[in-house]
Amino acid sequence: MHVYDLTPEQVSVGLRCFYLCQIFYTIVVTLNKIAAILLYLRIFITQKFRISAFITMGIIAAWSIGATATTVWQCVPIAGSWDAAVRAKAKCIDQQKFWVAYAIINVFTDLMVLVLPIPPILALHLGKRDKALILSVFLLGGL
Amino acid sequence: MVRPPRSFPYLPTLHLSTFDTPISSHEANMQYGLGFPAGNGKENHGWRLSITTLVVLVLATVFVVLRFIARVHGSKVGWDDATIVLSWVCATLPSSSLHRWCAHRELDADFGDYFYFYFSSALLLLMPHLCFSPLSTAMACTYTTSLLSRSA
Repeated sequence: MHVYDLTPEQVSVGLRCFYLCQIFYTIVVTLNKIAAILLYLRIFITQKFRISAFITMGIIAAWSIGATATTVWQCVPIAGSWDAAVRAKAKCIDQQKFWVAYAIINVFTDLMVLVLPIPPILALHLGKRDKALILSVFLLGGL
Repeated sequence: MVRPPRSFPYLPTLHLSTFDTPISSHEANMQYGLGFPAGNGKENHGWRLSITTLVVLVLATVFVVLRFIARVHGSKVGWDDATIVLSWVCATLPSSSLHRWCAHRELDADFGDYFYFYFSSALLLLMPHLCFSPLSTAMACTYTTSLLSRSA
């Protein structure tokens, strides 16, 4: 089954749903990262860590607001995202470039969240095995 | 009022789905390839994605609940738990509602038909990804909480 097997109406409805899912996707990605940072903030209470956590959260929040807004208004008027007739007259961003940029920044912010708990875990008064175990648990969130 | 049947020349089996003939969601699944192979000779991986989505959807729900149980027993429920619930809602809302929409096509026959068809081919690509995100976060948190409460 391919997109060219569908009628223009089917493609339009499918794209409308895809558009909706794109918005939810950017929101979900953000909320998960923020949930992870909020969890770290409950576990690690040093001031140095809290400052870096809040800075990371600020970067993620700012980037996510921008990304979600771009997803919503990827075409102006927004109906251009799913309606080919509207799209011909609409102003749209280069979606391919946007999603590549989104993926790169997403990986970068993922790494920021992953690296965040490493220094306080290494500073814990625990054995190497326990430290490795806790680190692996936190890195599991990177999945 | 009997509505005329729509013709889908590219998919002969769809001629069965006339609007005056009620079809069960199971039959509709068979015809459109959602949840099951379509059996219409067209290559369609939609049913595989549909099953993956359902599995991840259920797993995400189970792990978000497990996370809550771990938090209630191990420590206090906090803002991170509220955030993950919101994330779970944002992930499952489009996935499950769209799935239900397709399964109960009588809600809106026109839209249901179009959507059903497209759903099984392309849209589901995003669904497992949507549901997997809160799943992995909830899994990590459940394990962390149980580990920390054990060592405390």
